[in-house]
Amino acid sequence: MRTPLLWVLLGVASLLTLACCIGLAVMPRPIERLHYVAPPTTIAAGLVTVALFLADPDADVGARAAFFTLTLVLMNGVATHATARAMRIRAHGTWLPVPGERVRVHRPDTGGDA
Amino acid sequence: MSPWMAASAVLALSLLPCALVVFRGGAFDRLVALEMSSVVLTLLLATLAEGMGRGPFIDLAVALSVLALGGALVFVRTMERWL
Repeated sequence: MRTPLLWVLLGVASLLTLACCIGLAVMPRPIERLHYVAPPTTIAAGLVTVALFLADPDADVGARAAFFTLTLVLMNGVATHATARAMRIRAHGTWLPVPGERVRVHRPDTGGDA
Repeated sequence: MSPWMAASAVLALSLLPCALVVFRGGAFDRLVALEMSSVVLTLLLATLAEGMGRGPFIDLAVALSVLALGGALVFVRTMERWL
């Protein structure tokens, strides 16, 4: 019963990762490529962790898998933001909006963007 | 073939597009491909450890996941300030 479930979990995880890597190679700009890092770090890592829990009831292996998944999820957010920030600083010289740049600001009191 | 080794083969294949971007892209393209490669390698080490029956070797995936974050941030900081 476990083996077909393992095939499904690992198949989805590995094919999703492959698709995202191909997407990363196909996209023209680095800011677009950056989006393709998220699915493997969250969905695929989670699926591999679930598969490890199923395959190896040993709690030690499962705990380690949960730890690296948590690290990957945290890494994804931090590294993606830092990379996008560095791209913007390299392009405009500053992280802040440059003069004349139109910035969309969400105003919750009016329920729309200004 | 076990599902772990099949997943390892597909994950290893996933490194090829990343290598293509690293060889042909600009500086930030390479950085993004490096971050993706770190994630793929972490998953690959975990599936290989389980597929080969070496459960404790999953520590390699744990170590890589921690070190990849530091490495990526160092590269980002360097490119933001000096390159």
